[in-house]
Amino acid sequence: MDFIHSLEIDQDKCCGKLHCMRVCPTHAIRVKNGKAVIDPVLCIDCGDCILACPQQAIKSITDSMRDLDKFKFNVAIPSPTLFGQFQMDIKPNDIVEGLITIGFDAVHEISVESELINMAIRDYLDEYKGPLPLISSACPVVIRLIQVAYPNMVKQIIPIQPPREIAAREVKKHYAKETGLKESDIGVIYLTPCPSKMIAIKQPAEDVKSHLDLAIGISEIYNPLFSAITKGKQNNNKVNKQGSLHQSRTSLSWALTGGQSVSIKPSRFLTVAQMPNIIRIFDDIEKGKIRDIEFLECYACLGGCVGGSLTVEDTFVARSKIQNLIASMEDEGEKVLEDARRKYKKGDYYISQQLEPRKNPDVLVSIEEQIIKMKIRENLVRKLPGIDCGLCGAPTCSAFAGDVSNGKAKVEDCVLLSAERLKELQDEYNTDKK
Amino acid sequence: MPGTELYQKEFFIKGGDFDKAGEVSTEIKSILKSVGINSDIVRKVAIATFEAEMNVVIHANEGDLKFILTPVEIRITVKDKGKGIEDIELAMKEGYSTATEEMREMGFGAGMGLPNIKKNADGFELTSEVGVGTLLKITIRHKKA
Ligand SMILES: Nc1ncnc2c1ncn2[C@@H]1O[C@H](COP(=O)(O)OP(=O)(O)OP(=O)(O)O)[C@@H](O)[C@H]1O
Ligand code: SF4
Ligand SMILES: [Mg+2]
Repeated sequence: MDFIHSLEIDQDKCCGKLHCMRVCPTHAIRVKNGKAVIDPVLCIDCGDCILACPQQAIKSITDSMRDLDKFKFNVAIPSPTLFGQFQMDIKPNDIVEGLITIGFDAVHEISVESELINMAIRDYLDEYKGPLPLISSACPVVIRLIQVAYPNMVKQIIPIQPPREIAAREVKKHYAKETGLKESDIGVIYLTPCPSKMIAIKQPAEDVKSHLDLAIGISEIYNPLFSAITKGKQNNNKVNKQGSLHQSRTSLSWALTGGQSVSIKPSRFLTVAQMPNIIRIFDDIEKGKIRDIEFLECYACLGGCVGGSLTVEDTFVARSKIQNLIASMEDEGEKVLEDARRKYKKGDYYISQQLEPRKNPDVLVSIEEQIIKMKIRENLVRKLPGIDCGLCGAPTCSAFAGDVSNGKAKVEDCVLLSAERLKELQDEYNTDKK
Repeated sequence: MPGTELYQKEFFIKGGDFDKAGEVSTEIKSILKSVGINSDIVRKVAIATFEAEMNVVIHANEGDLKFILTPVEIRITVKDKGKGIEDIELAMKEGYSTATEEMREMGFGAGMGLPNIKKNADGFELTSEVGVGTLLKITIRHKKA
Protein backbone atom coordinates (compact mmCIF):
# COMPACT_ATOMS: atom_id res chain seq x y z
CA MET A 1 0.00 0.00 0.00
CA ASP A 2 1.24 3.50 -0.84
CA PHE A 3 0.95 6.11 1.85
CA ILE A 4 0.18 9.70 0.99
CA HIS A 5 1.98 12.40 2.94
CA SER A 6 1.80 16.14 3.32
CA LEU A 7 5.51 16.70 3.71
CA GLU A 8 7.81 17.57 0.89
CA ILE A 9 11.56 18.03 1.04
CA ASP A 10 12.95 20.61 -1.35
CA GLN A 11 15.97 18.75 -2.70
CA ASP A 12 17.71 21.98 -3.72
CA LYS A 13 17.43 23.55 -0.29
CA CYS A 14 18.23 20.42 1.71
CA CYS A 15 21.89 20.21 2.63
CA GLY A 16 21.80 17.18 4.87
CA LYS A 17 22.28 18.84 8.24
CA LEU A 18 20.62 15.91 10.05
CA HIS A 19 18.35 18.02 12.28
CA CYS A 20 15.17 16.50 10.85
CA MET A 21 16.53 12.98 11.19
CA ARG A 22 17.28 13.52 14.87
CA VAL A 23 13.80 14.76 15.83
CA CYS A 24 11.72 12.29 13.84
CA PRO A 25 9.77 10.28 16.45
CA THR A 26 9.42 7.17 14.29
CA HIS A 27 12.96 7.24 12.85
CA ALA A 28 11.49 7.65 9.39
CA ILE A 29 14.26 9.90 8.04
CA ARG A 30 17.65 8.92 6.66
CA VAL A 31 20.25 11.18 5.07
CA LYS A 32 21.75 9.64 1.96
CA ASN A 33 24.30 11.41 -0.22
CA GLY A 34 23.75 14.62 1.69
CA LYS A 35 19.96 14.69 1.25
CA ALA A 36 17.18 13.75 3.62
CA VAL A 37 14.79 11.01 2.56
CA ILE A 38 11.52 10.13 4.31
CA ASP A 39 10.31 6.53 4.54
CA PRO A 40 6.61 6.72 3.63
CA VAL A 41 5.74 3.65 5.71
CA LEU A 42 7.08 5.16 8.91
CA CYS A 43 6.17 8.86 8.43
CA ILE A 44 3.17 9.88 10.55
CA ASP A 45 2.91 13.48 9.31
CA CYS A 46 3.62 15.05 12.68
CA GLY A 47 5.62 17.84 11.04
CA ASP A 48 8.32 17.94 13.75
CA CYS A 49 10.92 17.86 10.95
CA ILE A 50 9.52 21.06 9.42
CA LEU A 51 10.32 23.01 12.56
CA ALA A 52 13.70 21.34 13.00
CA CYS A 53 15.06 22.13 9.53
CA PRO A 54 17.51 25.05 9.63
CA GLN A 55 17.18 25.48 5.84
CA GLN A 56 13.38 25.61 5.77
CA ALA A 57 13.66 22.89 3.18
CA ILE A 58 10.66 20.90 4.37
CA LYS A 59 7.20 22.18 3.79
CA SER A 60 3.73 20.81 4.09
CA ILE A 61 1.37 20.99 1.20
CA THR A 62 -2.36 21.45 1.57
CA ASP A 63 -5.04 22.30 -0.97
CA SER A 64 -5.55 25.93 -1.97
CA MET A 65 -8.43 28.27 -2.76
CA ARG A 66 -7.86 27.57 -6.46
CA ASP A 67 -9.08 24.02 -5.90
CA LEU A 68 -12.57 25.37 -5.20
CA ASP A 69 -12.98 25.59 -8.98
CA LYS A 70 -13.42 21.83 -9.04
CA PHE A 71 -16.89 22.22 -7.56
CA LYS A 72 -20.02 24.20 -8.32
CA PHE A 73 -20.91 24.92 -4.70
CA ASN A 74 -18.38 25.07 -1.87
CA VAL A 75 -19.07 24.61 1.82
CA ALA A 76 -16.37 25.43 4.37
CA ILE A 77 -16.14 23.45 7.60
CA PRO A 78 -13.77 25.43 9.80
CA SER A 79 -11.74 23.74 12.48
CA PRO A 80 -12.82 25.35 15.77
CA THR A 81 -9.24 26.61 16.14
CA LEU A 82 -10.08 29.21 13.49
CA PHE A 83 -12.22 31.09 16.01
CA GLY A 84 -9.16 31.72 18.19
CA GLN A 85 -7.02 33.20 15.43
CA PHE A 86 -8.23 36.80 15.46
CA GLN A 87 -8.41 39.74 17.83
CA MET A 88 -11.23 39.52 20.36
CA ASP A 89 -13.55 42.04 18.68
CA ILE A 90 -13.77 39.75 15.64
CA LYS A 91 -16.61 37.43 16.58
CA PRO A 92 -17.39 33.99 15.16
CA ASN A 93 -20.19 35.51 13.06
CA ASP A 94 -17.73 37.98 11.51
CA ILE A 95 -15.45 35.10 10.59
CA VAL A 96 -18.30 33.26 8.89
CA GLU A 97 -19.13 36.45 6.93
CA GLY A 98 -15.49 36.74 5.93
CA LEU A 99 -15.38 33.16 4.65
CA ILE A 100 -18.37 33.83 2.41
CA THR A 101 -16.71 37.00 1.11
CA ILE A 102 -13.52 35.19 0.13
CA GLY A 103 -15.38 32.66 -1.95
CA PHE A 104 -17.21 29.98 -0.01
CA ASP A 105 -20.89 29.55 -0.77
CA ALA A 106 -21.75 28.37 2.73
CA VAL A 107 -20.11 27.72 6.08
CA HIS A 108 -20.92 24.88 8.43
CA GLU A 109 -19.80 25.08 12.04
CA ILE A 110 -19.45 21.74 13.85
CA SER A 111 -21.02 22.42 17.24
CA VAL A 112 -23.90 20.00 16.84
CA GLU A 113 -21.65 17.26 15.47
CA SER A 114 -19.20 17.74 18.33
CA GLU A 115 -22.06 17.14 20.76
CA LEU A 116 -23.09 14.02 18.83
CA ILE A 117 -19.55 12.65 18.91
CA ASN A 118 -19.30 13.57 22.57
CA MET A 119 -22.38 11.42 23.27
CA ALA A 120 -21.09 8.61 21.05
CA ILE A 121 -17.75 8.49 22.89
CA ARG A 122 -19.53 8.59 26.23
CA ASP A 123 -21.65 5.58 25.23
CA TYR A 124 -18.59 3.76 23.91
CA LEU A 125 -16.72 4.30 27.17
CA ASP A 126 -19.68 3.01 29.18
CA GLU A 127 -19.96 -0.21 27.22
CA TYR A 128 -16.29 -0.97 26.53
CA LYS A 129 -14.78 -3.98 28.30
CA GLY A 130 -11.26 -4.33 26.80
CA PRO A 131 -7.86 -3.12 28.00
CA LEU A 132 -7.58 0.47 29.22
CA PRO A 133 -6.92 3.28 28.64
CA LEU A 134 -9.08 4.09 25.67
CA ILE A 135 -7.29 6.58 23.45
CA SER A 136 -8.94 9.56 21.82
CA SER A 137 -8.86 9.53 18.03
CA ALA A 138 -8.87 13.33 17.81
CA CYS A 139 -5.30 13.73 16.54
CA PRO A 140 -4.47 11.86 13.33
CA VAL A 141 -0.75 11.93 14.16
CA VAL A 142 -1.43 9.96 17.33
CA ILE A 143 -3.49 7.37 15.45
CA ARG A 144 -0.66 6.93 12.96
CA LEU A 145 1.98 6.76 15.67
CA ILE A 146 0.06 3.87 17.21
CA GLN A 147 -0.37 2.14 13.85
CA VAL A 148 3.35 2.41 13.14
CA ALA A 149 5.03 1.93 16.51
CA TYR A 150 2.47 0.56 19.01
CA PRO A 151 0.54 -2.03 17.00
CA ASN A 152 -0.83 -3.75 20.07
CA MET A 153 -2.55 -0.54 21.16
CA VAL A 154 -4.53 -0.07 17.95
CA LYS A 155 -7.59 -1.68 19.55
CA GLN A 156 -7.52 0.96 22.28
CA ILE A 157 -8.17 3.81 19.85
CA ILE A 158 -11.79 4.92 20.10
CA PRO A 159 -13.26 3.89 16.72
CA ILE A 160 -15.53 6.88 16.36
CA GLN A 161 -15.40 9.41 13.54
CA PRO A 162 -14.42 13.01 14.11
CA PRO A 163 -17.16 15.67 14.09
CA ARG A 164 -15.96 17.05 10.73
CA GLU A 165 -16.71 13.75 8.98
CA ILE A 166 -20.22 13.46 10.39
CA ALA A 167 -20.79 17.08 9.41
CA ALA A 168 -19.49 16.59 5.87
CA ARG A 169 -21.73 13.58 5.36
CA GLU A 170 -24.85 15.61 6.20
CA VAL A 171 -23.74 18.86 4.57
CA LYS A 172 -23.30 17.21 1.18
CA LYS A 173 -26.79 15.76 1.22
CA HIS A 174 -28.29 18.97 2.54
CA TYR A 175 -26.83 21.30 -0.06
CA ALA A 176 -27.35 18.90 -2.94
CA LYS A 177 -31.03 18.99 -2.11
CA GLU A 178 -31.13 22.73 -1.55
CA THR A 179 -29.30 23.65 -4.76
CA GLY A 180 -30.50 20.83 -6.99
CA LEU A 181 -26.88 19.98 -7.81
CA LYS A 182 -25.37 16.51 -7.75
CA GLU A 183 -23.57 15.56 -4.54
CA SER A 184 -20.34 15.34 -6.52
CA ASP A 185 -20.69 19.03 -7.45
CA ILE A 186 -20.80 20.07 -3.81
CA GLY A 187 -17.30 20.62 -2.44
CA VAL A 188 -16.91 20.21 1.31
CA ILE A 189 -13.71 21.82 2.50
CA TYR A 190 -12.10 21.53 5.91
CA LEU A 191 -10.13 24.53 7.12
CA THR A 192 -7.35 22.73 8.89
CA PRO A 193 -4.91 23.67 11.67
CA CYS A 194 -2.40 21.02 10.59
CA PRO A 195 -1.22 18.93 7.65
CA SER A 196 -2.10 15.72 9.45
CA LYS A 197 -5.83 16.41 9.31
CA MET A 198 -5.46 16.94 5.60
CA ILE A 199 -3.85 13.51 5.33
CA ALA A 200 -6.68 12.12 7.47
CA ILE A 201 -9.01 13.41 4.74
CA LYS A 202 -6.95 12.27 1.73
CA GLN A 203 -6.20 8.87 3.24
CA PRO A 204 -8.14 8.05 6.41
CA ALA A 205 -6.24 5.76 8.81
CA GLU A 206 -8.94 3.11 8.51
CA ASP A 207 -8.49 3.00 4.72
CA VAL A 208 -11.88 4.27 3.56
CA LYS A 209 -12.94 7.40 1.70
CA SER A 210 -13.49 10.65 3.59
CA HIS A 211 -16.71 12.65 3.21
CA LEU A 212 -14.60 15.78 2.88
CA ASP A 213 -13.17 16.78 -0.49
CA LEU A 214 -10.40 19.23 0.33
CA ALA A 215 -8.40 20.58 3.24
CA ILE A 216 -7.01 24.09 3.17
CA GLY A 217 -4.57 25.27 5.82
CA ILE A 218 -5.73 28.13 8.03
CA SER A 219 -2.49 29.98 7.29
CA GLU A 220 -3.26 29.74 3.57
CA ILE A 221 -6.51 31.75 3.88
CA TYR A 222 -5.58 33.89 6.85
CA ASN A 223 -4.56 37.09 5.05
CA PRO A 224 -7.45 37.32 2.58
CA LEU A 225 -9.86 36.31 5.33
CA PHE A 226 -8.55 38.90 7.75
CA SER A 227 -8.84 41.71 5.24
CA ALA A 228 -12.32 40.57 4.18
CA ILE A 229 -13.41 40.61 7.82
CA THR A 230 -12.06 44.09 8.51
CA LYS A 231 -13.57 45.53 5.34
CA GLY A 232 -16.85 43.78 6.01
CA LYS A 233 -17.02 45.22 9.51
CA GLN A 234 -16.36 48.76 8.22
CA ASN A 235 -19.11 48.56 5.63
CA ASN A 236 -21.42 46.57 7.86
CA ASN A 237 -21.86 44.00 5.08
CA LYS A 238 -24.18 41.05 5.49
CA VAL A 239 -23.33 38.48 2.88
CA ASN A 240 -24.19 35.42 4.93
CA LYS A 241 -27.80 34.44 4.47
CA GLN A 242 -27.62 31.53 6.91
CA GLY A 243 -28.34 33.64 9.98
CA SER A 244 -26.21 33.81 13.07
CA LEU A 245 -24.14 30.96 14.46
CA HIS A 246 -25.23 28.82 17.36
CA GLN A 247 -22.24 27.39 19.15
CA SER A 248 -21.80 25.29 22.24
CA ARG A 249 -18.78 24.95 24.46
CA THR A 250 -17.85 21.48 23.31
CA SER A 251 -16.58 22.16 19.80
CA LEU A 252 -14.52 25.15 20.91
CA SER A 253 -13.02 23.38 23.89
CA TRP A 254 -11.95 20.46 21.70
CA ALA A 255 -9.37 22.79 20.14
CA LEU A 256 -7.55 22.74 23.48
CA THR A 257 -5.73 20.02 25.42
CA GLY A 258 -8.04 18.58 28.04
CA GLY A 259 -11.13 19.78 26.18
CA GLN A 260 -12.41 16.31 25.43
CA SER A 261 -11.91 15.07 28.95
CA VAL A 262 -13.86 18.02 30.32
CA SER A 263 -16.86 17.39 28.11
CA ILE A 264 -16.80 13.59 27.98
CA LYS A 265 -16.23 13.31 31.74
CA PRO A 266 -14.48 9.94 31.95
CA SER A 267 -13.89 8.63 35.45
CA ARG A 268 -10.09 9.03 35.25
CA PHE A 269 -8.32 10.76 32.41
CA LEU A 270 -4.89 11.85 31.31
CA THR A 271 -3.95 14.53 28.79
CA VAL A 272 -0.58 14.60 27.00
CA ALA A 273 0.84 16.78 24.27
CA GLN A 274 3.91 16.66 22.03
CA MET A 275 5.59 13.60 20.62
CA PRO A 276 8.33 12.88 23.21
CA ASN A 277 5.78 13.00 26.04
CA ILE A 278 3.29 10.87 24.15
CA ILE A 279 5.96 8.28 23.42
CA ARG A 280 6.95 8.11 27.08
CA ILE A 281 3.34 7.57 28.15
CA PHE A 282 2.72 4.98 25.41
CA ASP A 283 5.81 3.04 26.50
CA ASP A 284 4.43 2.98 30.02
CA ILE A 285 1.03 1.83 28.82
CA GLU A 286 2.59 -0.98 26.82
CA LYS A 287 4.35 -2.23 29.93
CA GLY A 288 1.14 -2.10 31.89
CA LYS A 289 2.58 0.61 34.13
CA ILE A 290 -0.42 2.87 33.64
CA ARG A 291 -3.32 0.85 34.87
CA ASP A 292 -5.90 3.16 36.24
CA ILE A 293 -6.68 5.61 33.44
CA GLU A 294 -9.94 5.28 31.50
CA PHE A 295 -9.46 7.93 28.83
CA LEU A 296 -6.28 9.24 27.29
CA GLU A 297 -6.27 12.42 25.27
CA CYS A 298 -3.11 12.99 23.20
CA TYR A 299 -2.16 15.76 20.84
CA ALA A 300 0.94 16.06 18.71
CA CYS A 301 0.87 19.82 19.18
CA LEU A 302 1.62 21.88 22.25
CA GLY A 303 -1.66 23.00 23.80
CA GLY A 304 -3.76 20.89 21.41
CA CYS A 305 -4.92 21.89 17.93
CA VAL A 306 -4.52 25.61 18.68
CA GLY A 307 -0.82 24.75 18.40
CA GLY A 308 -1.19 23.21 14.92
CA SER A 309 1.54 24.14 12.45
CA LEU A 310 -0.90 25.74 10.01
CA THR A 311 -2.41 28.11 12.56
CA VAL A 312 -1.24 31.70 12.67
CA GLU A 313 -1.85 32.95 16.20
CA ASP A 314 0.53 31.98 19.02
CA THR A 315 -0.59 28.79 20.77
CA PHE A 316 -1.03 30.37 24.18
CA VAL A 317 -2.75 33.48 22.89
CA ALA A 318 -5.11 31.37 20.79
CA ARG A 319 -5.87 29.25 23.82
CA SER A 320 -6.79 32.29 25.84
CA LYS A 321 -9.03 33.57 23.05
CA ILE A 322 -10.91 30.30 22.81
CA GLN A 323 -11.30 30.23 26.58
CA ASN A 324 -12.63 33.77 26.47
CA LEU A 325 -15.11 32.84 23.78
CA ILE A 326 -16.32 29.94 25.87
CA ALA A 327 -16.58 32.09 28.98
CA SER A 328 -18.53 34.79 27.17
CA MET A 329 -21.23 32.40 25.94
CA GLU A 330 -24.58 33.32 27.34
CA ASP A 331 -25.66 29.78 28.06
CA GLU A 332 -24.35 26.24 27.62
CA GLY A 333 -25.46 26.37 24.00
CA GLU A 334 -28.94 25.03 24.79
CA LYS A 335 -30.11 25.26 21.20
CA VAL A 336 -27.18 23.16 20.00
CA LEU A 337 -27.59 20.60 22.76
CA GLU A 338 -31.29 20.25 22.04
CA ASP A 339 -30.58 19.78 18.35
CA ALA A 340 -27.96 17.14 19.10
CA ARG A 341 -30.19 15.22 21.51
CA ARG A 342 -32.92 15.13 18.88
CA LYS A 343 -30.55 13.92 16.13
CA TYR A 344 -28.50 11.42 18.13
CA LYS A 345 -28.65 7.89 16.77
CA LYS A 346 -26.72 5.49 18.93
CA GLY A 347 -24.25 3.41 16.93
CA ASP A 348 -24.28 5.72 13.90
CA TYR A 349 -20.84 7.24 14.37
CA TYR A 350 -18.38 4.37 14.20
CA ILE A 351 -15.62 4.42 11.62
CA SER A 352 -16.72 2.10 8.84
CA GLN A 353 -13.67 -0.15 8.88
CA GLN A 354 -11.42 -1.41 11.67
CA LEU A 355 -8.10 0.30 12.27
CA GLU A 356 -5.13 -1.95 11.57
CA PRO A 357 -1.43 -1.64 12.39
CA ARG A 358 0.70 -0.43 9.50
CA LYS A 359 2.58 -3.30 7.95
CA ASN A 360 6.29 -2.68 7.63
CA PRO A 361 7.65 -4.72 4.71
CA ASP A 362 10.91 -5.20 6.65
CA VAL A 363 9.23 -7.42 9.23
CA LEU A 364 7.06 -9.40 6.81
CA VAL A 365 9.40 -12.39 6.73
CA SER A 366 9.48 -15.49 8.93
CA ILE A 367 10.54 -15.36 12.57
CA GLU A 368 13.60 -17.43 11.72
CA GLU A 369 14.76 -14.87 9.14
CA GLN A 370 14.02 -12.04 11.54
CA ILE A 371 16.22 -13.66 14.13
CA ILE A 372 19.09 -13.91 11.69
CA LYS A 373 18.67 -10.20 11.02
CA MET A 374 18.52 -9.51 14.73
CA LYS A 375 21.77 -11.35 15.32
CA ILE A 376 23.43 -9.27 12.60
CA ARG A 377 22.09 -6.19 14.35
CA GLU A 378 23.31 -7.23 17.75
CA ASN A 379 26.79 -8.10 16.52
CA LEU A 380 27.07 -4.78 14.77
CA VAL A 381 25.73 -2.79 17.70
CA ARG A 382 28.52 -4.28 19.81
CA LYS A 383 31.08 -2.85 17.38
CA LEU A 384 29.46 0.55 17.12
CA PRO A 385 30.36 3.33 19.54
CA GLY A 386 26.78 4.10 20.58
CA ILE A 387 27.29 7.84 20.30
CA ASP A 388 24.48 8.28 17.79
CA CYS A 389 26.41 10.90 15.79
CA GLY A 390 24.21 10.38 12.77
CA LEU A 391 27.00 10.66 10.22
CA CYS A 392 26.15 7.26 8.79
CA GLY A 393 22.84 8.81 7.81
CA ALA A 394 20.75 6.99 10.41
CA PRO A 395 19.43 8.63 13.60
CA THR A 396 21.04 6.20 16.06
CA CYS A 397 23.69 3.51 16.02
CA SER A 398 21.03 0.88 16.56
CA ALA A 399 18.85 2.26 13.77
CA PHE A 400 21.94 2.05 11.57
CA ALA A 401 22.48 -1.58 12.58
CA GLY A 402 18.84 -2.21 11.68
CA ASP A 403 19.37 -0.65 8.26
CA VAL A 404 22.40 -2.85 7.67
CA SER A 405 20.45 -5.98 8.64
CA ASN A 406 17.70 -4.98 6.23
CA GLY A 407 20.21 -4.43 3.43
CA LYS A 408 19.57 -0.68 3.37
CA ALA A 409 23.02 0.43 4.49
CA LYS A 410 26.59 -0.85 4.48
CA VAL A 411 28.76 -1.37 7.57
CA GLU A 412 31.32 0.99 5.99
CA ASP A 413 28.83 3.87 6.22
CA CYS A 414 29.91 4.30 9.85
CA VAL A 415 32.65 6.94 10.08
CA LEU A 416 34.33 5.15 12.95
CA LEU A 417 34.56 1.89 11.05
CA SER A 418 35.72 3.43 7.80
CA ALA A 419 38.24 6.22 7.28
CA GLU A 420 37.14 6.47 3.67
CA ARG A 421 33.63 7.33 4.69
CA LEU A 422 34.95 10.14 6.85
CA LYS A 423 36.93 11.51 3.91
CA GLU A 424 33.85 11.27 1.74
CA LEU A 425 31.83 13.25 4.25
CA GLN A 426 34.53 15.90 4.55
CA ASP A 427 34.22 16.44 0.82
CA GLU A 428 30.46 16.30 0.88
CA TYR A 429 30.12 18.88 3.63
CA ASN A 430 33.04 20.92 2.34
CA THR A 431 34.60 21.15 5.77
CA ASP A 432 38.05 22.26 4.62
CA LYS A 433 36.74 25.07 2.44
CA LYS A 434 35.02 26.84 5.33
CA MET B 1 11.67 -29.17 16.76
CA PRO B 2 9.41 -27.06 18.96
CA GLY B 3 11.92 -26.98 21.80
CA THR B 4 14.83 -25.54 19.82
CA GLU B 5 16.04 -22.22 21.00
CA LEU B 6 16.03 -19.65 18.25
CA TYR B 7 17.33 -16.94 20.48
CA GLN B 8 18.16 -16.34 24.09
CA LYS B 9 19.35 -13.49 26.21
CA GLU B 10 20.06 -12.92 29.88
CA PHE B 11 19.50 -9.75 31.86
CA PHE B 12 20.56 -8.65 35.32
CA ILE B 13 18.04 -6.89 37.56
CA LYS B 14 19.21 -4.87 40.53
CA GLY B 15 16.92 -4.65 43.57
CA GLY B 16 15.84 -1.16 44.60
CA ASP B 17 17.04 0.45 41.36
CA PHE B 18 13.96 2.40 40.32
CA ASP B 19 15.84 4.42 37.71
CA LYS B 20 16.51 1.39 35.56
CA ALA B 21 13.32 -0.44 36.48
CA GLY B 22 11.40 -1.46 33.39
CA GLU B 23 14.40 -1.48 31.04
CA VAL B 24 14.54 -5.24 30.76
CA SER B 25 10.90 -5.59 29.79
CA THR B 26 11.28 -2.72 27.34
CA GLU B 27 14.17 -4.46 25.64
CA ILE B 28 12.34 -7.77 25.45
CA LYS B 29 9.34 -6.00 24.02
CA SER B 30 11.41 -4.41 21.30
CA ILE B 31 13.11 -7.72 20.45
CA LEU B 32 9.72 -9.37 20.03
CA LYS B 33 8.36 -6.50 17.99
CA SER B 34 11.35 -6.50 15.70
CA VAL B 35 11.09 -10.22 14.96
CA GLY B 36 7.48 -9.76 14.03
CA ILE B 37 5.71 -11.55 16.89
CA ASN B 38 1.97 -10.88 16.89
CA SER B 39 1.15 -7.71 18.78
CA ASP B 40 -1.31 -9.33 21.21
CA ILE B 41 1.43 -11.74 22.27
CA VAL B 42 3.96 -8.93 22.62
CA ARG B 43 1.53 -7.20 24.92
CA LYS B 44 1.16 -10.26 27.15
CA VAL B 45 4.90 -10.77 27.37
CA ALA B 46 5.52 -7.08 28.04
CA ILE B 47 3.06 -7.00 30.91
CA ALA B 48 4.29 -10.25 32.45
CA THR B 49 7.99 -9.37 32.24
CA PHE B 50 7.41 -5.87 33.53
CA GLU B 51 5.60 -7.20 36.60
CA ALA B 52 8.23 -9.89 37.19
CA GLU B 53 11.02 -7.36 36.81
CA MET B 54 9.32 -4.95 39.20
CA ASN B 55 8.85 -7.65 41.79
CA VAL B 56 12.61 -8.17 41.86
CA VAL B 57 13.22 -4.41 42.04
CA ILE B 58 10.69 -3.97 44.85
CA HIS B 59 10.82 -7.18 46.84
CA ALA B 60 14.30 -8.71 46.28
CA ASN B 61 18.00 -7.83 46.33
CA GLU B 62 18.98 -8.87 42.82
CA GLY B 63 17.96 -11.26 40.10
CA ASP B 64 18.52 -12.66 36.63
CA LEU B 65 15.97 -12.79 33.89
CA LYS B 66 16.46 -15.32 31.13
CA PHE B 67 14.57 -14.87 27.91
CA ILE B 68 14.24 -17.72 25.41
CA LEU B 69 12.45 -17.68 22.10
CA THR B 70 11.55 -20.97 20.40
CA PRO B 71 9.52 -21.49 17.24
CA VAL B 72 6.37 -21.91 19.31
CA GLU B 73 6.80 -20.14 22.62
CA ILE B 74 8.52 -17.52 24.72
CA ARG B 75 10.05 -18.65 28.00
CA ILE B 76 10.87 -16.25 30.77
CA THR B 77 12.70 -17.38 33.89
CA VAL B 78 13.33 -14.96 36.72
CA LYS B 79 15.53 -16.10 39.56
CA ASP B 80 16.22 -13.77 42.42
CA LYS B 81 18.14 -13.58 45.67
CA GLY B 82 16.04 -12.02 48.37
CA LYS B 83 13.65 -12.52 51.18
CA GLY B 84 11.47 -15.02 49.31
CA ILE B 85 7.74 -15.55 49.62
CA GLU B 86 6.35 -17.25 52.70
CA ASP B 87 2.85 -18.08 51.50
CA ILE B 88 2.62 -18.36 47.73
CA GLU B 89 -1.12 -18.90 47.70
CA LEU B 90 -1.60 -15.69 49.63
CA ALA B 91 0.85 -13.79 47.42
CA MET B 92 -1.16 -14.84 44.38
CA LYS B 93 -4.35 -13.24 45.74
CA GLU B 94 -5.43 -10.08 43.93
CA GLY B 95 -4.84 -7.12 46.19
CA TYR B 96 -2.39 -8.83 48.54
CA SER B 97 0.80 -6.83 48.92
CA THR B 98 3.56 -6.25 51.42
CA ALA B 99 4.83 -3.15 49.61
CA THR B 100 5.75 -0.21 51.83
CA GLU B 101 3.92 3.09 51.92
CA GLU B 102 6.78 4.67 49.98
CA MET B 103 6.42 2.18 47.14
CA ARG B 104 2.69 2.65 47.08
CA GLU B 105 3.24 6.33 46.57
CA MET B 106 5.23 5.48 43.46
CA GLY B 107 2.26 3.55 42.15
CA PHE B 108 3.32 0.03 43.07
CA GLY B 109 1.87 -2.31 45.63
CA ALA B 110 -1.63 -2.80 44.29
CA GLY B 111 -1.07 -6.52 44.77
CA MET B 112 -1.93 -7.12 41.12
CA GLY B 113 1.48 -8.11 39.75
CA LEU B 114 1.53 -11.87 40.25
CA PRO B 115 -2.16 -12.34 39.34
CA ASN B 116 -1.52 -10.33 36.16
CA ILE B 117 1.48 -12.44 35.23
CA LYS B 118 -0.57 -15.58 35.65
CA LYS B 119 -3.45 -14.15 33.63
CA ASN B 120 -1.15 -13.34 30.71
CA ALA B 121 0.87 -16.55 30.72
CA ASP B 122 0.10 -19.99 29.33
CA GLY B 123 2.48 -21.72 31.74
CA PHE B 124 3.14 -20.38 35.23
CA GLU B 125 5.35 -21.84 37.96
CA LEU B 126 6.33 -20.01 41.13
CA THR B 127 8.59 -21.46 43.80
CA SER B 128 10.33 -19.74 46.66
CA GLU B 129 12.47 -20.31 49.69
CA VAL B 130 12.23 -17.84 52.55
CA GLY B 131 15.49 -16.04 53.12
CA VAL B 132 17.01 -17.40 49.91
CA GLY B 133 15.03 -16.27 46.91
CA THR B 134 12.28 -16.82 44.40
CA LEU B 135 12.06 -18.60 41.06
CA LEU B 136 9.40 -17.70 38.52
CA LYS B 137 9.00 -19.59 35.27
CA ILE B 138 6.51 -18.56 32.67
CA THR B 139 5.82 -19.53 29.09
CA ILE B 140 3.70 -17.72 26.55
CA ARG B 141 2.87 -19.44 23.26
CA HIS B 142 3.18 -17.36 20.13
CA LYS B 143 2.20 -20.06 17.69
CA LYS B 144 -0.63 -22.49 17.95
CA ALA B 145 0.75 -25.95 18.72
N1 LIG C 1 10.34 -11.70 43.90
C1 LIG C 1 9.73 -11.61 45.09
N2 LIG C 1 10.43 -11.70 46.24
C2 LIG C 1 9.83 -11.61 47.44
N3 LIG C 1 8.51 -11.38 47.60
C3 LIG C 1 7.75 -11.26 46.48
C4 LIG C 1 8.31 -11.36 45.18
N4 LIG C 1 7.30 -11.23 44.28
C5 LIG C 1 6.18 -11.04 44.98
N5 LIG C 1 6.42 -11.06 46.31
C6 LIG C 1 5.44 -10.95 47.40
O1 LIG C 1 4.14 -11.20 46.88
C7 LIG C 1 3.31 -10.07 47.08
C8 LIG C 1 2.35 -9.93 45.92
O2 LIG C 1 3.07 -9.65 44.72
P1 LIG C 1 2.36 -8.87 43.54
O3 LIG C 1 3.34 -8.68 42.46
O4 LIG C 1 1.10 -9.57 43.22
O5 LIG C 1 1.97 -7.49 44.21
P2 LIG C 1 2.92 -6.27 44.60
O6 LIG C 1 4.25 -6.41 43.96
O7 LIG C 1 2.91 -6.11 46.06
O8 LIG C 1 2.12 -5.06 43.97
P3 LIG C 1 2.03 -4.68 42.40
O9 LIG C 1 2.68 -5.79 41.66
O10 LIG C 1 0.57 -4.57 42.12
O11 LIG C 1 2.76 -3.41 42.27
C9 LIG C 1 4.26 -8.92 47.24
O12 LIG C 1 3.70 -7.85 47.95
C10 LIG C 1 5.41 -9.57 47.99
O13 LIG C 1 5.11 -9.69 49.36
S1 SF4 D 1 -2.83 18.13 17.82
FE1 SF4 D 1 -1.78 19.10 16.08
S2 SF4 D 1 -1.41 17.44 14.62
FE2 SF4 D 1 -2.90 16.67 16.08
S3 SF4 D 1 -4.87 17.12 15.10
FE3 SF4 D 1 -4.43 18.85 16.44
S4 SF4 D 1 -3.40 20.36 15.17
FE4 SF4 D 1 -3.36 18.38 14.07
MG1 LIG E 1 4.42 -6.81 41.91
